[in-house]
Amino acid sequence: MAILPVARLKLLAGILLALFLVGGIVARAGLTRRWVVGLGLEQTRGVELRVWDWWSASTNEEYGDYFAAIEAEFEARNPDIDIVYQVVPFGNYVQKLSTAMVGDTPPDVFQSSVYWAEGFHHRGMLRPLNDLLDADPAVPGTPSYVGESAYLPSAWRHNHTQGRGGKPPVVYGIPQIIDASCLLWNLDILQAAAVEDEEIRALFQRRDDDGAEGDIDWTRIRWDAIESWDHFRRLTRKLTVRDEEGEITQAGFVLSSSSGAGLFSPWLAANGGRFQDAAGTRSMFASPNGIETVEFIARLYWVDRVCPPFRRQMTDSELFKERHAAVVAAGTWSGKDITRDTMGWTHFGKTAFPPGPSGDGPSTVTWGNMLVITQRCENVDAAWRYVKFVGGLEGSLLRSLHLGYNGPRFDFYATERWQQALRQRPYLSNVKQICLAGDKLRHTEIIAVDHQANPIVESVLLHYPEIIDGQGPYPSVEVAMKTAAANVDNVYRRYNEQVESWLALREQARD
Amino acid sequence: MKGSRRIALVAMTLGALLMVYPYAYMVGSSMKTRKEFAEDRRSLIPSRYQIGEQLAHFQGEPSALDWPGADWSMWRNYVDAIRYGGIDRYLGNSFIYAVVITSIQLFFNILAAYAFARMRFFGRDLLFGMLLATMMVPPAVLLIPNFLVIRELGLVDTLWGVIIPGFAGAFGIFLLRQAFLNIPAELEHAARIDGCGSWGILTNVVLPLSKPAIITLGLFTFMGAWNMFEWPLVVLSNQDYYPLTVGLSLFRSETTADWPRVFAASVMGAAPLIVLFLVAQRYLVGGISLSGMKT
Amino acid sequence: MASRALWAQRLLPYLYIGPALTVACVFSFVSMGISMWVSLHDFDAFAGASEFVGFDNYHRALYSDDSYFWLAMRHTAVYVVLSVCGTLLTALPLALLCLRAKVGQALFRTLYFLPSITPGVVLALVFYHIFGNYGQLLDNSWTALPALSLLGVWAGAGYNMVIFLAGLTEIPQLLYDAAVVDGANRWQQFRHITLPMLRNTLVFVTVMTIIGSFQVFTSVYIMTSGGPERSTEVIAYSIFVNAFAVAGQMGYASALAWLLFAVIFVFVFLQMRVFRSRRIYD
Repeated sequence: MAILPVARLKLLAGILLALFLVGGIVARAGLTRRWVVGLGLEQTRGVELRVWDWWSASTNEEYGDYFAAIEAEFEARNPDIDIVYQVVPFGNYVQKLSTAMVGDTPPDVFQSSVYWAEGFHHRGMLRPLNDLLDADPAVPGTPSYVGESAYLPSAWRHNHTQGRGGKPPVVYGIPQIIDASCLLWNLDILQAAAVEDEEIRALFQRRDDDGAEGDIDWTRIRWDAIESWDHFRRLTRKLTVRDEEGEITQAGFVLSSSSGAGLFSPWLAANGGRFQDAAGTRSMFASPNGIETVEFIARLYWVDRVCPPFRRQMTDSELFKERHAAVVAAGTWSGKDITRDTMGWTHFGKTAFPPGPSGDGPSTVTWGNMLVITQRCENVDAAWRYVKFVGGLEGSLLRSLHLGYNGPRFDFYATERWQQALRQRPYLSNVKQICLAGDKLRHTEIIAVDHQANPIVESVLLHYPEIIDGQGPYPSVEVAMKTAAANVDNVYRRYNEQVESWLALREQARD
Repeated sequence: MKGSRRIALVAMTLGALLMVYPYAYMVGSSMKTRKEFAEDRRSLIPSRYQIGEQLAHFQGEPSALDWPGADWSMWRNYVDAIRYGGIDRYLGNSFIYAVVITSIQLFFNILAAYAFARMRFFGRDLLFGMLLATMMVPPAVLLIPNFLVIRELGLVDTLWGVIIPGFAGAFGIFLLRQAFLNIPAELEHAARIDGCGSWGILTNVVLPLSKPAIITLGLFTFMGAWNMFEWPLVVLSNQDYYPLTVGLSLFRSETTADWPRVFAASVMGAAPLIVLFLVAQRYLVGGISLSGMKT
Repeated sequence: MASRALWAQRLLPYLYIGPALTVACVFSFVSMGISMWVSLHDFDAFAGASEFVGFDNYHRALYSDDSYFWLAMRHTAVYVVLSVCGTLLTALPLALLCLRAKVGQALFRTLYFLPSITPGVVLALVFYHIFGNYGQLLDNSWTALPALSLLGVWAGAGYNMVIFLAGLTEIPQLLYDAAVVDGANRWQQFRHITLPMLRNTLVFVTVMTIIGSFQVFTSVYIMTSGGPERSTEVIAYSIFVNAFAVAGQMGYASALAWLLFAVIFVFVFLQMRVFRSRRIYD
């Protein structure tokens, strides 16, 4: 049943297809650069340094600006080095790195999350940095010194081994940033509510910063403003607004069901608990503190009802950006993404997590993602120069300038740039205290651990009422958490056995 | 009779609409701005083009045309996908993989099929049985094993690592062998009398007569190579080598909120094969009917 | 001289089959052999093999409490059953309707065939939103797996419809004419003529669908990552996660792959016999 002259149409389609296919080859098939370089047709600078990161200009153009600035500055000072960046999404990083390390074009330097760094080191992928640090001529206290004393303690926790049997710890990364989980508060909502509510008004900072004197500074919230979990529940209940049908139009607090173990770690820390032991041999989250924590979170959703129904598609950060949430759990790095996605909104603030019944003092989990050099790097000198540049004070300043990040180094907080950042982005005012107050973030075999633990935590959160009634997938929250703990312990056990054999392999290879 | 025909027609048309709806959704969403998509995920037409919104704006009432980005061109997301996402690079790679795999596989398959069809040699049936056996392992099971072989060969994260396993096409050999067997032997004898060797017979007699089968096989191989996902995902980490399918999954991981751009990239990923299909329908549909080949 | 030519002629066939056969054998037999070896070891994609563990990986897969195997196989089995039922219940009626409609068959074939030539990644991305817009099917651990199955059925509908169409058109019309003369109504015609004559095609489609759905990966990877609450964790995804996304479990993943092979083997064997009956090869 032909309406148009089919033959003509097919000819046209065939020509279009041929054009397209030819265009496909011409249009930068990714191979061409390597061919061209291989043929010697393109002049490359002396040494090519391949650098990976998950920060992507696609997520936020400011990352693009940042990398352009770093590249320009570094290549200007080191004309013999050519930096080639590649973005790898966070969720695919371990897979891509493992593949690349046995492949043709492994990275020389990359930013490693603390989630993976330990595992990479044990697998033998990272080049230890002790010798480079010892040979470094920079003096402690100077901007280009990248040894331990330059950094806030919480930044220097994840980048080295424990050092056993009298051997000094092996350093495998240089911290680049310091991060902490934190609570993010919508200060527009709080300010509006504070007109009539004394308790909410007390959350804000005073201009003189000591005691209850002085005018209220509506742009800043006190980092330890929330005094307890009950206080938190009270506040979020007050801040939850419903419409006539009972649907939540403004959420007190938004939970996302699928972040499982990651969601519950900072609350656990605030309740005096820990996820794992320092050596990564056993899980500690199924303790009474841990169970208390999971119940608290589940009850926020089911009993206090401060959160809209769980949805995969609508994340908590999206709800926050749309101003439909008073509080979400986020990180000290979240500010610039929010500002960019909301076209310039900066009226929000960060606090630590309030202490739970078994905790003392506000707390959270902190970490410092780091730059590492891979074992397959052939130009260690060039790589080390890059790491020192990015990890030193200058790198921190560039990150503050382009990304609004606070640095992991002590000297950073003494700079004019930091003061300027505080003025430009008032939501940064608490980040230093939050970073100092935190516990060490969990760090062992995170992907496998999450694969075991997250579904169970998710189950508990989603089916809490049924579990309480005895009809749920687990007879009780305690049983669920202990199951998760047992599975996670298996992961640790297998991992540690493997680490032993990898170490043995490497010893053998050295002999 | 007539009545049931009409019912059947209506039912088929409804079904066809269901088939086409996701494509329409993809194209429509690819033209939206981020805000439009966040506000209204279901509509096929971006808000700023909807008549209701145009009317409201005209009447001075608040409408989607007052949002920032209302002057966003239809093609803006496509341009952005290329400029920021590098989709053209991925398309080029897909094309190269598809062409190389298809041509080399066809070449190997034609030779082997001809040998199995017309030549007599020691161990022919045994070797053919071995070929049959290689088809018995499903691709999902072969994923790790092939990766291990590529790792041993030192070809991880290279073009050849992606391409080489694609040279194996036992199914194609069976198909071509069948097609070759159907060519009357007299023609080949005649050619041999004229002084042709095996290669001559192949090129002058067998190939021209089995063109439909070869074209069909070539098309299916091309499409299969274009749609490859799991294998390049596992073998590659250098983005310069990603085919479009893997590039799309990367895109989706990276841009957590810019779905319209992801859709634009998807349209660009689906379009080439659709064009190819429209042009070469006859061969593809005929090929399936004949043998139930899988892309 | 003559013997040289004879010798060359005797070698020629091997030259012809050489490339294809070598590649095919390397990337099936040899690779499976390596995979079996790896499954008996503790293996990391980067660090290589660390120690021989015998059948520990298999033991862990089958007996351990936190094993992925049984959970994933359960989910995969549900997916397969849903897919087969869904396919048979859509593709066959569609083919019948298409024949009956008579007009526009070519157009319908084209439209219905579109999903078969679209990369699975594209379909997964679009349906991620469609499922989200209409009922949040992917958020609920009861509906997520059926939703994925629905996507699979939808995507394969046109392809399978074409196969059934081919099978249907092979049935001689005079069988139907004779039945009409004997007073059979449409349902009886269907039961006693169409179905038996379609037996081969039905077996073919069923077996192909089973083998294909056992290997479902792309939609899980793109849309759900095994969630919610692991309800869409299928065996191919488990294999992938253990082999590549996690460190040091490639031996375990290889064991999982071999176990999967053992399960599918029955169906693969059936597939071979079905090919035989369709005279694809002698």
